[in-house]
Order: sequence, then C-alpha cells, then structure tokens
Amino acid sequence: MSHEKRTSADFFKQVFGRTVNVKLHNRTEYIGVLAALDGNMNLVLEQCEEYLEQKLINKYGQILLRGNNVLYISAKFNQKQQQEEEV
Amino acid sequence: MTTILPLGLLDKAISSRVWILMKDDREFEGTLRGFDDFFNMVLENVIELDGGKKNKLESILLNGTQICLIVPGGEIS
Repeated sequence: MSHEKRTSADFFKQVFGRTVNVKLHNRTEYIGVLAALDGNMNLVLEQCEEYLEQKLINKYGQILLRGNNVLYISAKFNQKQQQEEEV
Repeated sequence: MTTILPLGLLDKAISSRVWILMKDDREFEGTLRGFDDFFNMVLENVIELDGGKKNKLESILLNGTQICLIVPGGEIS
C-alpha cells in the first residue's frame, strides 16, 4: 500500500506564492505571501501583516524572517477570497 | 528481534493522527503527512493548543527544534 509522503521539500514547493501564516516561538504571527524559503526555514514574505495575540501591530512590504524563530508555517490550500481572518 | 528506530516508528505513523508535545506548553494534533531527519513535520487538519486556546490549521510545516514528544494515534486531551 503506497502512501504519498510529503516531506518539507514538497511542502515548500506547494507553498510558494501562497499566502501563509508564519507563527514564531514568541507567538507573533506573520501573514503574507511567501516569496522565498530555504532549508533553514528562513523566509521572505511580501505584503506582510504582523499580529501579536490576534491584533494587527504592523504591516511590511517585504520582510526577511530568520528561520530559527519559526514555530510553524501554515498554508491554506482552499483559496478563499476573503479578508485575513483572525479568530 | 527487530529493531525499531525512532524515525522508523514515525514512518509507520504517516497518514495517521499524531499528538505532538512541544518543549513549552504547546500541543499539536494532526494527520502526519511527512517528516525529515530534523523532525520537521508536515501535518494536515491540525489542532493547535496554546495556553488553553485552540486553533485549527489546514496544513502546516512544524519546526522540529522544539518538538519534545510525539504520540502516534494520540489526541490532545
């Protein structure tokens, strides 16, 4: 029985150009379009919003996020055209 | 007597639910899609538990550096 194993490399390929939610160890979240990603989880996000505890605190045109801070990178594959929802 | 390596056990858990405990009091429960040597994990249909707050996520790449414990077939209590 073959199951498809999706490693981090596959995840990276799927996630380029999509809007992602990146959560850091310090609970800060960044929602933006993924422009670049490497094996250290360093990221470049564009049109990025910075949230702390569900509250928007900043907006950036382009940021470089150092990968050691990243807790997870979350992507939505059902591309719904809606405002960033923060529940 | 068969030896089971840790990553071998993880490989067996692919496509099933896993419960992950982090070094701080955070938990994740999701369907394991894949992992790598650094314990970075691809999870789907994830529930994140952080300080009592639950959050649902569709698909995540979880950084392995803070992972403490993985329970195959487990759930967030």
